[in-house]
Amino acid sequence: MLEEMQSESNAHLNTQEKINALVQNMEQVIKGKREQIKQVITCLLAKGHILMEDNPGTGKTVLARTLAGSISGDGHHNASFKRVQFTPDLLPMDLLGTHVFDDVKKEFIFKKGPLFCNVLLADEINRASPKVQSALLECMAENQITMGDMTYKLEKLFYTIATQNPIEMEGTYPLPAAQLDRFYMKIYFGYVDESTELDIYKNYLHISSNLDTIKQVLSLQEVLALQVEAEAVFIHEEIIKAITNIVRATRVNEGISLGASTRSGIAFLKCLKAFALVNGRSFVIEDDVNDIAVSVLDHRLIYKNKEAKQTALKQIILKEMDRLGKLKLY
Amino acid sequence: MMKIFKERSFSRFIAQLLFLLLPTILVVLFILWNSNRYFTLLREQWQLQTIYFSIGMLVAYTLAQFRFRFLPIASLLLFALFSVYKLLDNYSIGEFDSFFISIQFLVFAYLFSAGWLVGWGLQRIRFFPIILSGIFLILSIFLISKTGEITIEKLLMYFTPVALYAIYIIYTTESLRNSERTDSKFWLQFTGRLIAFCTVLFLLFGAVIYVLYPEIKERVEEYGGQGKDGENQMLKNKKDGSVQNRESMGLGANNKRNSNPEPLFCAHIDSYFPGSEMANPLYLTSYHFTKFDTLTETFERDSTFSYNDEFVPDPSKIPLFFTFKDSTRLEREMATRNKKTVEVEVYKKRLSANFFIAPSTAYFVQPITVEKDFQKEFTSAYRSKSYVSDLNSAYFIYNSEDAQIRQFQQQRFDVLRKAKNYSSVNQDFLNYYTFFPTKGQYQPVKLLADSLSNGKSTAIDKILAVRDYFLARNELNERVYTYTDNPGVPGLPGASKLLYFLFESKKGYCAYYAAATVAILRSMKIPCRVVTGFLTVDRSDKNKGWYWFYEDQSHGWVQVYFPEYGWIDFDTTVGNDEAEQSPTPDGTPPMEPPKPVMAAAGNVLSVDTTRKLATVHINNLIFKDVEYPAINENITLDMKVARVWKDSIQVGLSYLHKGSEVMAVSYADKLKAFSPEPSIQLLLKKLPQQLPTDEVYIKDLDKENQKESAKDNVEQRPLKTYLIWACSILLSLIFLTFLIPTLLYNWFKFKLNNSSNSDAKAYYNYKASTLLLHMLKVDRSTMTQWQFAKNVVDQKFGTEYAIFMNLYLKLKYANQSLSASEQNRLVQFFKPFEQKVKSHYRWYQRCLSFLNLNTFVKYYSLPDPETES
Repeated sequence: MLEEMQSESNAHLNTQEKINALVQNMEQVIKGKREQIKQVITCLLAKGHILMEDNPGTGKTVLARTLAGSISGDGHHNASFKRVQFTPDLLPMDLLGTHVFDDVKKEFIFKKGPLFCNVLLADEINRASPKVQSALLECMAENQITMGDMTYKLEKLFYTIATQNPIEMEGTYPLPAAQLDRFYMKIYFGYVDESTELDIYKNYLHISSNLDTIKQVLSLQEVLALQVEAEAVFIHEEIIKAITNIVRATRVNEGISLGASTRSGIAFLKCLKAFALVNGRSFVIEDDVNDIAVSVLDHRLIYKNKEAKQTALKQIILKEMDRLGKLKLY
Repeated sequence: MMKIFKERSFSRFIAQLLFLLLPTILVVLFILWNSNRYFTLLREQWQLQTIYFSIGMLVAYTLAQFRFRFLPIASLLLFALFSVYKLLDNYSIGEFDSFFISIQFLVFAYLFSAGWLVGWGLQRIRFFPIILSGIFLILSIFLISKTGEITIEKLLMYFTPVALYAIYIIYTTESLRNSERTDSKFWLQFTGRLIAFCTVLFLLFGAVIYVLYPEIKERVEEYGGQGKDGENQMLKNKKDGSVQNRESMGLGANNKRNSNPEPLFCAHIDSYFPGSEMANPLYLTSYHFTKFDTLTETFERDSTFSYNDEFVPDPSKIPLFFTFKDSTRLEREMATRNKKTVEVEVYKKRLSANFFIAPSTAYFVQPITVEKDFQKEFTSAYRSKSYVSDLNSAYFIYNSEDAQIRQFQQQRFDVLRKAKNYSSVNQDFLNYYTFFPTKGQYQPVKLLADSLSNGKSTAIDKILAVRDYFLARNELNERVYTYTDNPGVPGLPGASKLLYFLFESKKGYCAYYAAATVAILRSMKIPCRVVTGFLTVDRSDKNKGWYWFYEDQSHGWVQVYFPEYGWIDFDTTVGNDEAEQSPTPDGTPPMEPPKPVMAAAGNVLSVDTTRKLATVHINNLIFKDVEYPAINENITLDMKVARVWKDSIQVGLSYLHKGSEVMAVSYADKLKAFSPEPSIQLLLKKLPQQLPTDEVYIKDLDKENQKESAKDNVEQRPLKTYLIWACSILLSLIFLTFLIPTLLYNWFKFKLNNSSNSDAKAYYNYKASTLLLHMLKVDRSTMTQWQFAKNVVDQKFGTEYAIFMNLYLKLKYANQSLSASEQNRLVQFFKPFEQKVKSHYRWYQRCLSFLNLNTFVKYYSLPDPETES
């Protein structure tokens, strides 16, 4: 009944089917992670990039691969998926590509690096040196690579899924706040619950084969179309006001030393629209704000102490949700 | 321990000490200081007592901070206090010491324990400040009620600090509880906020009092019953400007007499010395103070005692010329010899209309009219009859040095010396009128009485010994006991005012002398009582038997009972050497107003305005003092010279119409020729057909009754009704407060059913359902409404709340309008939902939940993010 109502409230039935297909397709491989899948797709549709933080072995890589596998490339094969394992000795050119001398043509030609793909999994990004990190993040922001005089465009659909280890682990270069700001969202993958985990162990053989036999449910063109559609989602003035209130509140909060930037507000707005679409709506509601606010904002803030880290942002969001809940908008 | 007493808690502890406990100590100091002024038991040691209280409070507060359990500590404390008390009882030497120390210790123990409870409560009970302020307010009410006279200054003085404290403490506790921070900035902010709050509070309070002061003052004087401090203690000013004697008499405040006394009334006392033309003035009595109350140390009126012959009718309530008689008073007086009836007419000027005075013992009252020439001067009049002993006379009791008076007094004393002793007198009567404590602090009175009565055998000699004791002069020919209107406040803590007067200050006004005399006489086992009223001074020789009475003649004196002779007046008050004598009025005593010959009461049957005749159906008729009650006759009145009165205003004859209830009065000489007949029929036959009439008073019965009862209400409504009234308002306010959630819920439902707009209906659907769920304590914690609907409510109650929320959010945020079916769904949602939810609770559970204000308050506050799992 509820699902029926939800789809009823959606003006774009076709869109909804596509997104549902994508989510279901990914769920076949990644079990019990519906929320995370939705958020990953949200970032994709919002033309952003996502950072996942968690312990190794929780399924981050599989998620990225499944996403890439679900999208068909230029009509005949999968969207290109690249994975780069970041290590302290990685150099920027390993990522971007390099000019090599072509013996035949007697000139330097550009050898594209792994960045030239549709879905990039930047694994353990915080293990690489800051130099490499900034090279990657710059590309993410500009969507192009400049090498010497030449500028190379990246793929039209370029989606980075970065992972990082929890900061406390050894041998890491924590990402500076400025860099973190470029990720639209940071999500925690987390372990699955007990029953799902049991299920995974029982069927581990199928899961790996699932990854191989994953269906391509969307084409690149369709994803790009969805991105356009996400931009068209209606957002009520009061929701925009709520975003403003939340972002501004982080700047004056006693427990937060660095608040959210205006860029983060824009990212928040985009994510909200995409998230509404992912949830099958053509308009943003207060629940969307509640659901993704922490993912969008938390990694951009620098807290003064642990207590503030636990409560400050939640308090701000709660207050705003309360305001929205009491609004009478007609 | 360190964990409990971490830094935050420590500064919180200090903050609470400063902001909560210190003001509490101040208020307790104030209350104790007040109590000490009215309870001698406390012995004026309020500083020490406050310290007891504070110590108890601080100790309990600190212990509670360290999470000590209440019960074990409290029982330990109780045990310790009790053992010490027992020990003290066993080991102290001497009766007085023991008493003194035990009382001291008890005071300490009670105050310490009270402080203990308060300290503990402030630390551990959330709503304790409210309870505490309630207790303090009740204490102040109690103290005010104990203090006797209530004035605006007193009310304000008692209530303001406690009321301010109540608001302050509730506000401060809550804001302290709600603030988490303890850094230095917090201290600054918090103190600033408190100061601002207190300033606003003071300004508000001050403004209210300033604006409403005259009004409150009037109310208080109206309900407070008694007059203001620093007034004539023997007289009471009433609201309408009239005066009467006070109905209670404390030895307390100063007796301020008007330096320019006004005449209150004049009286014709029909009493002359036997066989002579010489007027024999009599003191006029109003109240008898017969019962000594050891608690308040005053003599009190006691209408319950069967031998009380106090006669207190209300002349204003008796119709004109009707009589009120109570001859049982004469039996109660227990006198048989040398009695005669004395008639007294009292014409009131400023004396209250409902006040009655007459020589004792009165048994008869009849309101009479004031003849028209005198109506400007006198407001009302009555005639009274008293059964008076031959021996009573004002000359008999004046403490005058005049030889003639002395001789006259001696003759009478000789008569009284021959009176029987008290052995034949009824024992109850004797016991009652001789009651006075002789033990404890009253022992010196007994000793004094014994020394004065030493060698005297008769009662009169003992009385004279007491009188001479008060009138005695020392070697320098100065009075030992002097008269003063300002007897001062005893400096000795705990000493009774009576003893203070007798043995220390030796100065006072009449009430002091009367009370002290009665105390001594009763210690001698001579039956006596204090009476109040007016002393009579013969100031004129023009009009025999007529006397003016001034404000400064209000008086209190002593009556002593002699077997067979009854109650004889005695006055032991020393002369007031400094007092200014009341002036002799230039109008001299009033001319004797004419006496009415006939008075008839009845209903008008017809009026002939041209011939000026009126036919009246009469029920009562009085002719030359003979009363013909319950008659059924018609008479015709000749109204040619009659004046018609209505509500003391002269009106025209046309005001008389059929059915009017009237009282017709005639002064006509024509009628004086006739004499009363045994029956009314005979009398009417003899009298002329048309009875000449001088005055006709129209009584609008209903109106009059209403007026009287209204007046009654105003005058007799005591403080208690006022308090009950205030309490009921308070209670209904509290009741209403508890009903707020229910009212709000029903308001939402009402709006839901009555809004025309479907969007508004959806909104009230939403409001009503969220309130319902909240009040039933379905916990939303930090979930959004939609999550809550989907994950909690629908799971629990099987409702379609999530669908509703979905549509509602769409309505709220989407740029598209809802389809008709969706709208319908939104609007129709609430009824089935409410039923389903309610079916999960019993009716009383629902009621109780809706009465919970705590839950309701949370409906408007943010959830705590830490509760999120």
